[in-house]
Amino acid sequence: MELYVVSNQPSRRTDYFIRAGESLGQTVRFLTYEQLLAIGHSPGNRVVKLEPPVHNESGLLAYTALCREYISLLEQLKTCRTAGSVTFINSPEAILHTLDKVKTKQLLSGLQVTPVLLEQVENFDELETFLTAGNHSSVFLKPRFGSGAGGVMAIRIHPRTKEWIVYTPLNCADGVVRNCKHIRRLTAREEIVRLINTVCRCDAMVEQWIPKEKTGNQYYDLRVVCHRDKVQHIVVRCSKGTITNLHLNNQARPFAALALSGEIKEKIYREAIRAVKLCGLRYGGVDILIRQGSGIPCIIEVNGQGDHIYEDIFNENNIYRNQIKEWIR
Amino acid sequence: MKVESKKYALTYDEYDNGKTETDLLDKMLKDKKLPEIKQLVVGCWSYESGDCSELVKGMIANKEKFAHIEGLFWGDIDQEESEISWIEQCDLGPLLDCMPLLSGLKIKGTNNLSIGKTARPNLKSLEIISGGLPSSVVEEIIASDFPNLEKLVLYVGIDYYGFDGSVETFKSLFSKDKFPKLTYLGIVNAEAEDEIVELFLNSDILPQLETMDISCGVLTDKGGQLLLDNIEKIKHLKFIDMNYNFLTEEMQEKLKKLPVKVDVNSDADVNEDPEDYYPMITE
Repeated sequence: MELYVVSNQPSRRTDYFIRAGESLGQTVRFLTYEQLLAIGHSPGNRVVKLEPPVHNESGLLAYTALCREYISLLEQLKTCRTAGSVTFINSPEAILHTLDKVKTKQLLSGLQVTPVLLEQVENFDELETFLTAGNHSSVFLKPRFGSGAGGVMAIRIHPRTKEWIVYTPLNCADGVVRNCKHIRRLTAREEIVRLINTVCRCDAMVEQWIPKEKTGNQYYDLRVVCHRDKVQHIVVRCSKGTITNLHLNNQARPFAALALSGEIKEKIYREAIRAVKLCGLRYGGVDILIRQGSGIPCIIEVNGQGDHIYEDIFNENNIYRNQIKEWIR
Repeated sequence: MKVESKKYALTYDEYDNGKTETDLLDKMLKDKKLPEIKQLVVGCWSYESGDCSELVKGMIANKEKFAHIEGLFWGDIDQEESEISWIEQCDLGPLLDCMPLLSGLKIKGTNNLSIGKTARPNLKSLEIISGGLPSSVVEEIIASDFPNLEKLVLYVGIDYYGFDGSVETFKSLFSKDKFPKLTYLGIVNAEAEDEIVELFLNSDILPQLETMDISCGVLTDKGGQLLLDNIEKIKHLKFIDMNYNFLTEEMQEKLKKLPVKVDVNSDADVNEDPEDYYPMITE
């Protein structure tokens, strides 16, 4: 058996996966996507871990184009599996499911999830009409494809005055809408309209905004990394606002520090493992919020490549090690 | 075991299932522990910026159940539930009248807020958190009689979110005759925090104070220098709270050397254009 980790270029993700292999006496080789496509149809016994492409694109539309390219690439990579020479740790099909937030929510029907209110919205006017008609005063607008906080907008509309308030990492400079590394609070309608119209060009969908539980004076949600039937690691992502993604200078805290009951913890583990299975993944990162007041865990999204946890790789590197162990037993 | 403090709120799940502030009232009234609660905390009553008048009416109709309350936090609502500037209040005066033992009162959100103009001899602490405090609320405090008030903190905010006064609006609060027992005074979260410092320094209430709270606002080196220039007037203080400010590092270092405990920590960016200096809570 030959073990490969694949991306467009070496990265911290691929390096630490290779190191995990070394620590277990298993050679892991790096391949580019193109190299995999070239050898993927020839005979062999290859196990492949797919990693997302490395980029430093902050422009929203350019980032969306990269997501679409990656989706096309995953479609091509399916053929390697069909040829029978490659076993993917997480298959391109399963990763594709989780790159589509609407599809993910469909797969998770039966679990507690943040509800999708509208699968597609074309522009600001359509969104405003929908929110007003449906009496929705707090929602998230998100690009349907991709993962992370890129392009996410937390939107509030005052039920009577129709005043808008938006929290988002997006800003517009020199005519380009970009993701920045902090959350901005917007009230100027002109800017809100421009940004929403840009997000709508990225296949935007609308989700219900469910208030998150707090720890101390910060809101939090959880990134639960699962592998098969086990929860491998949980990161508590804390923020002063509702968008908690860690690359936005938010704080990670240990799960053990949360005052959650055993019953709620068990429910978190169960739901996360089920979510990973329902998406057809061997491993995945499941983002879960705890509904404020009731303590009910609620899945926000599933990330089929959401196993890259600094706290783990810089210490035991167990998440990657366990993925490899499964294949060298 | 006595239950000292309890929070009642309409949770998002309850709201999602069609419950309203009437159900919140029911939850409160049917709680067997209510008679044991001294500190009552009332959280979110509406996720659609609805006001609290029905809840208040219902509590007044059952006023005997609240007569023992000693502390009230009205509007313990956080940003996930509502913007502060969207919290709709009502005339709380009649409800407060039903709580004759009330010694501590904290209110968050000031749209359409009234607390009445009356005597509350037991009130020792009053704190009003707002992104834009209406001057009518300050006028009510001035027109009321709180002879035993020891702590007063008012969040001023900005005009965009409802502050319709000026520094002069607060001048009458800086009076030893008005508040003979006041030891903690905070006029915080103000755009004109430097001018608030002047009010402190020129008041006759300063000698009796232990804490000067000028936090959360646009306090600049101008206000800091005023403190340095008036050490004799402030050296008796136990604490000056300046947390969140627009002081330069140099000024922060100078203020740390005052013969008074100070908090000059801040995550506000003094290097921004002064046009972009905002109080901490501005919504």
